[in-house]
Parts: sequence; C-alpha cells; structure tokens
Amino acid sequence: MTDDRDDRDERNFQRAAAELRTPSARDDAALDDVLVAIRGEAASRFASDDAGDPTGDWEHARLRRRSRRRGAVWLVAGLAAAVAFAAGLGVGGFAGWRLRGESYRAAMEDLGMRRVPPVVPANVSAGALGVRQPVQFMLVAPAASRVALVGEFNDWDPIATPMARAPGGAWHVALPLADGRHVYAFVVDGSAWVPDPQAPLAPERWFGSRNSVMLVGGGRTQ
Amino acid sequence: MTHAAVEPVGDTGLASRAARGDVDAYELLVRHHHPSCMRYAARMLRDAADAEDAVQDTFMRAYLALSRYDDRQPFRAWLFRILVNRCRTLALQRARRTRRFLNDPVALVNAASPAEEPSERGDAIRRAVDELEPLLREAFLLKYVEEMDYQEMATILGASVSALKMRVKRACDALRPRLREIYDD
Repeated sequence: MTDDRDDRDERNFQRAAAELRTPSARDDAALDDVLVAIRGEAASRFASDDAGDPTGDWEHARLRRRSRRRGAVWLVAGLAAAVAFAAGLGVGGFAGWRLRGESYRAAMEDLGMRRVPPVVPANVSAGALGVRQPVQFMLVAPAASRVALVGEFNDWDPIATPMARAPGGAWHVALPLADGRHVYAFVVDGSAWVPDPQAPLAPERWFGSRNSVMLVGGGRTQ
Repeated sequence: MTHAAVEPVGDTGLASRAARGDVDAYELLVRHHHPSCMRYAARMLRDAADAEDAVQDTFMRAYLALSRYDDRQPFRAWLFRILVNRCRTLALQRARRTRRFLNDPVALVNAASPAEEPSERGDAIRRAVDELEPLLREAFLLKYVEEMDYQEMATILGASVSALKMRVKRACDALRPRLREIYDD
C-alpha cells in the first residue's frame, strides 16, 4: 500500500516535470534574440579583430535586449539622428521626416555634402525618381565604433551593409532601393539595434524590436 | 595518403570549434541548450522577461568565455553554472526592485502581464514549484525537469551530493500534497 502510494507520488513528480518541460510561446522569439546577439558579437569581433575587453560588446547586447523588451529608449552616446534622402535630386517639400537644425547641417558638412539639394525622404515622387533610387541613410553617433544598416532589403544581416564614418561622427551609406515601403534599423557596435529617431516607427516588430519605416516613391508608412 | 581532419562531435567538440571562431558551432550549442535554460530560468525567476534576460546573458557570457572552457567537464554543466549564477543575481536584484515598487500603485497597475500559461493544471503545478524555497526549487528543477544526476548537480550548484539529495527530498515533501490535489489522488 505504501509502495503504491510512493509509486503514485513518484509518478506525480514525473508528470509535473513533464508539464514544466512544455515550451513557452515566447521561446522561439527568445532564441532568435540570443542568436542575433551572438551573431552580432561574432560579426563585430570579425570586423574589428578587436582583442580588447569584450565586456563592452556584451554590455551592448544586454542593453539592446533591455531596450527592446522593456520599451526603454536606448541612447547612443551623443546625438543620434538619421535621415533618408534621394541623392542628387532637387525635390522639395514632403510630408515625411527630416533632420532639422544645426545637427543636420553639421552632419552634412562633415559628410562633405553641402551641395546636395534639399533633403528628401522616401516619399518623393516615384515617377520622377525611377524604380531603384539611391537612398542615403545617416546616423550621427560619435561614440560608436561601427554602425550598420539592416532591413528587409538585406535580410536583417548586420554584416551586409556597414556604414562609413565621417568626421564628426556621422555614419552614412547609400543604397539603391526599389519603390515601396522599407522597414529598417541601425545596428550600433555590432549588437545595439537603434530605430531611426527621425522616422516613423514600423508597427511590426522583428525579433521583438521596434524599427523604422520609410517609403520610396510615395504611399503610406503604416 | 591524406587524412581529413576529424572534428570531435557532441557538445565538447562544438565548444572547441566555437572557441576557434566557428560561430555556426556555437549556434548549434545555443539551439540545443536554449530550451532547458529557458525553462529553468523561467521557474527560478518566475518571470518570462527576466528569464529571457538571464538566458541571453548566459549564452553571451559563455560565448565570451569559451577560451576558458575546460573540455574535461560537460558543456551543459559549465553552461548551467553560469545560468544558475545569473538567475541568483537577477533574483536578488529583482527583490530590491520589487520592494521599491510595492508602494507604487501606478507601477503595479501598469505592470506587464505575466506570460500566458497553457493550462489550469500547468498553472497550478507552476505555482506549487514557484512556492518552493529557491534552493529547493533549483535542486528539484535540475533533478526532475532536467534529469541530471547528483554529480552533475553538485558541479553546477556547488553543493555536496548529500546536501543536494536532502534538498530534493525536502522539495518533494513540500510538493507531494500539492501534486496529489492537482492529480486527484
């Protein structure tokens, strides 16, 4: 009788353990987060061949995670601002976003782009611009050691589109993009995903993080 | 005659490859151990978001420390040792945070809902385990849920085998009546 009861108790422990092994609905997304962080760390090591203290990179990964999941604002040291514009086209007036004021002008001067016509975001006329137009992305992040552009257009690969640093801490890259809606973000120092603070946030999330959305050729961002 | 390099297989081989810069090997390790790390952290921290933080921190710390991994010990034990410490640290930090928030009605109202639980019975089991003292809970989880032997548990938890057997027994004593109720015995 006692043995029966012991057996039943043991069976209960095993059944409880089996219940506790049931995966959570969040596990897949959490795994993606881990893999992205590890890949980012590996990419940054490869890119910089940095033999210094690795805790800084790890700290970025941790901060990125907090910023995504807690909804906190991740601050790039210094002023972080970004703009997308169609290079070399004099189209003015738009209902989207743009950098304003001294920050933008200083960054543009640093980039040696004083002659570039007024900033045009993605929602410029499709007919005037053609199908695949070069779009310039910029992030002012003086404290960053590397910045990359990620989006649907490069499969969110933090290695695919590194940005170049100009004096003053403006990071930039130009990318030909087809007309339409593009969701994107910046990856700072290999692991911290930063949405464009000057652009609308995309309603959807990738790996739980918020990203920015832009339009090339007109239309709605939402 | 040439011989192709034979790579060792299993966790230890993957860890060795990862330490030499093979990130694909580390990804395999992550994929293999992530589920067990998540369920352990979720029960020890009783919060899905904190568990995800702890697990990501654990894998990142392990990745950065791969060069110090001694392949004479099982990778899982080494990984779980990091995880156990992360969970203990986060639990302490959260205890302080919780005490600060207890008198903050706005924070309590706005707090995120806990992760959804799949069933009433599962909910009851989780509550019963969550109410165990942390030392008993970690021993029960490693023994029953992760099906570790006492020697591996001793490596991870830094306690003697006899002490761990006692903790598991005390955990079972506490759970027994609750589980009888749950399973209608």
